[in-house]
Amino acid sequence: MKGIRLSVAAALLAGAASGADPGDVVVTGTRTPEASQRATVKTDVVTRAEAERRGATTVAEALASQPGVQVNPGAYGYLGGISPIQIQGFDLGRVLILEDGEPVIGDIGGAIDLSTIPIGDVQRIEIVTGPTSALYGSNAIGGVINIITARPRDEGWSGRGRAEARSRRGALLQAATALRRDRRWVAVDAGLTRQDGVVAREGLPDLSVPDSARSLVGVRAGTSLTDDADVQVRARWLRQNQEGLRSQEYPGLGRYVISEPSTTDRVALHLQELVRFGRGSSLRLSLGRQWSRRVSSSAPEGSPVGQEQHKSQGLQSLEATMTLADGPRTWVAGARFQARDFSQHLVRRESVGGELVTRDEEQIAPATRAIAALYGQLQWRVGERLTVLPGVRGEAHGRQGSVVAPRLAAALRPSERWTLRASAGRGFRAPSAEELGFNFDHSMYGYKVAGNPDLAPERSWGVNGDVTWRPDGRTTLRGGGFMTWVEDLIDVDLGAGAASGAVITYTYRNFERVRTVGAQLGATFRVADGFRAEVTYDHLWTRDDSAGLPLPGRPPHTVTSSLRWEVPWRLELYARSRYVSDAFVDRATRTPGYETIDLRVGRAISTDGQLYAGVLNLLDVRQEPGRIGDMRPPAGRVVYLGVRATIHGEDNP
Amino acid sequence: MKRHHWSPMLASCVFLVACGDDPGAPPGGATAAGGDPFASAASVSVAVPETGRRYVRLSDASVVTPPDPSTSRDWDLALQGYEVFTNSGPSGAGEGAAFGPLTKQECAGDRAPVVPFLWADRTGGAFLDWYAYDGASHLVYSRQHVYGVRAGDRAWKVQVIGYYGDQHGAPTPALYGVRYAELGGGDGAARTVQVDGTAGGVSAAPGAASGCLDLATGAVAALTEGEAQASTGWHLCFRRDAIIVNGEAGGPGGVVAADLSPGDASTETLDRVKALTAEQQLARFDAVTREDVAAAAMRGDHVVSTFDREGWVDWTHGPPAPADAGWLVLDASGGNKSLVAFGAFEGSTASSPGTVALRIKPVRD
Repeated sequence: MKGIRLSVAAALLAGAASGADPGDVVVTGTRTPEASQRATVKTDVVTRAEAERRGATTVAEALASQPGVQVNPGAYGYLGGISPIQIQGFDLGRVLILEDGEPVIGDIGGAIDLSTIPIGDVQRIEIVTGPTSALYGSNAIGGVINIITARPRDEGWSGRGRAEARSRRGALLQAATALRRDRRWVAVDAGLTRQDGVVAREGLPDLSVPDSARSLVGVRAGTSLTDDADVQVRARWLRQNQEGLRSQEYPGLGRYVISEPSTTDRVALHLQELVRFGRGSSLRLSLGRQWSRRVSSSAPEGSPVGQEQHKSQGLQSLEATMTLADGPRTWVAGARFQARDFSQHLVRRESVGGELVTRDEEQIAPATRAIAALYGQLQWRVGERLTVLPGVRGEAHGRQGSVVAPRLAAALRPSERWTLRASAGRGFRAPSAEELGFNFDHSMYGYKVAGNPDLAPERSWGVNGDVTWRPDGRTTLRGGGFMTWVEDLIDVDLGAGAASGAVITYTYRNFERVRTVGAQLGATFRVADGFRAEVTYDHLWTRDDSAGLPLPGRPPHTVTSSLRWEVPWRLELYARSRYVSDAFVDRATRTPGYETIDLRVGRAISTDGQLYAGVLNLLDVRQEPGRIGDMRPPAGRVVYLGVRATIHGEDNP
Repeated sequence: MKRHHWSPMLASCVFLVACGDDPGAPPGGATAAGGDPFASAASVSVAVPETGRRYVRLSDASVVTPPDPSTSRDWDLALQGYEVFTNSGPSGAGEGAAFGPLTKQECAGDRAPVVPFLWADRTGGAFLDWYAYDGASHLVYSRQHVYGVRAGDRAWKVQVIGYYGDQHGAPTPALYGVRYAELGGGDGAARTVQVDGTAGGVSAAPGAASGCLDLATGAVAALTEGEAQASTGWHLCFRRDAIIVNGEAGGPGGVVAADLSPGDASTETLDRVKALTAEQQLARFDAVTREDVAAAAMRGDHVVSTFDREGWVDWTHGPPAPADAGWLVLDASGGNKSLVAFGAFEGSTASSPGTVALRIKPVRD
């Protein structure tokens, strides 16, 4: 019993799974460790092993074919391949991205680019759909993605490596080493990836996806201060360099090639202390600090004329979470204080009267926005079959006011074969720094975009329900649905630009109302011990009530299927397909539907090593350059060949 | 037994597949199929003079007489002859604006139709629409129209043949290429000149010096907005994407101008404009004669609003009549929107519509 408690406490400390089988324990849906199949709030998990089977090198690739979500590479910008995630029809700032429970900063237009987060030190990714602001506050309207690392599983030295070659001169090198002695441990992770860009049109230098290089260096360590107190520290540095190219024909002048490089650095420091009080009760203290810097440039090749945008973000946080286990009741209460700072400026070098002039324009004045939050939750196991989970969170956002977000969830297991879950809750999103203070002056082209400091938070209500039936040990059938209403949605009001002279000024407003409704049906079959098949259908209906139209870029139908087959000669075959229907873009445009097929074959070369080869997007589906709203993959077919190996610690051969 | 288990799922699939994401009804829920979208609108009759203005307040659909219309926010629309102004920009101190014309179907319901922007009144004239804008590339393309410009007894034809120039190996906007020739005087030769209309660059303060062209001498002077407003030493000023005529509200020079090759909206598409070149359009330039200029209705820059004279009045069927359309109007406070349509004209003349019935329907966002 004590062992179980310790295991659970360790998971709580790490915000991650314990040393037990990965994927068995989830934490994101309730902030308390639960077996994933018995979780009170439905939580999907993509383990590192599954991500590697999917041929992923980044979190974006790991989730690209995950049922219930859409990852849209390049959907928000012609360069950079920004890959935000869409859950229940919501994306950009309406899906909260966490790393070990801490919000990830460094968004571009509200989108956290999941393609910048390598899976080098990731142990698993948890996906919770539906409003989760009662636990995590702002941005958790569509759902929460929690990217989780873990302490080393093995005693003594252990190591892990992965080397891979890819199409378009792609290369991946990942290495990790760890030392663990009882409750003291240290782990170092490093990774490098690079890949050439994708040419948009033959005969032109334009790239639809830029050349890219990413690196990761991470150090994690933990120790015990006393028998009942553990401390853990995590430091991580991510760098992404991109080299974009585009060309433009200027009337009367000819074609210019414009270089668009960018560098993004993100550093995260995270310190946690867990104090155990026995009987499953604990106090977790967490201190976080993050910095994100992005410099992106645009200049004609060979010319001193151009511009350079500098964007800085920072986050400081302090959080205390008390967990009190009282028999069938587990209370969670917490407080969080955080301060986010932002600034953005544009250095423009232009030719004025034949002379070079450099000007530095402030686009977002440096500002710090503080948030104070209190939250509480009761997880009450009413008998063996029913768990009830009420919770509430209140946040104060200074000038933007306060928000209270309640949630009520329940899980009923009338028998071992059936699980029924339902939840209803409120989500919200506080206005972003851009929305509050952006000053984007494009007067030369006839328009400006101005921030609005009087914006209020967006607020949503959502209900979710799902049923799981396991008629036998080999078959699992799932069905679920959701409905979400969002009010005061913030957007640039293109219907209310104010024209003065020849310049139109648009601004952000709380003016839209949106509904999304969806359903999911899925089945998993284990035909034999080494054969597993899975198929999931997702339906999504959306409505922008302000315009009376669907939300753009939300495919109504998605079917995902996968087969995993362990065949003789230590071979593993993996196939995955995804059909995405066409979707509304505007009254005159629809993005085309498409289907992708991924194949992978791996052969075990040691106890935990594998030689593998695969192809992503076998059918070579790709975006049509210049086609507005095209959600098809921008990169086309990718072939890869690699090897991975794990060296276990001395006590765990 | 197996069939029994799957039937509800299949039924759900069929139901869900049937639920597409097709666009629904227009906002407001009402359609204008055969109905009058202004049936519930308030109405006010305005006797419009040929000179002098009548002022209308939208909130109570009334004609008002503000003591000082230039500073008052107590009026929302002003009518004078065949001109309609909003309380904004050079017309008034308010925060009014408007957009139109809209079809009657777009005016259905009690919600404001989605429009790209609302125009405040502004000054402009013959060169208001000299270019086509490509929103995808943010590039400006000259329509290559030929304009007539007259100052006293001298007249010129002018064609904007380019907007971009190369400086430091980079394309620079607002470096105008201008082709012009005097008509009926001088040597009549076509000349081209580059005018720097960058006005200090993209991020310079408003009103910075910009290139102003004297067509009589071919000289280009860099003048601030204030200097240009006080000078008669130029005919056309180039300020970023605007071309200003030195007459009426544009300056003290008494210059007037007209577009001698107004575009046909149905054929002058962006793609067609993008395909035009200066060389190709030389013939269009050469074809313009002094007689064309003499026959054109010419003006200096003046106050213009969304209620274009050709837009809200139907001139095609005998006596002038109100166009079958609606306008979205923002009131002087900048906070309330109404849909406005015009009823029949009574007693119209060549310079006034006579008594106009305004129909006003408040709408919400």
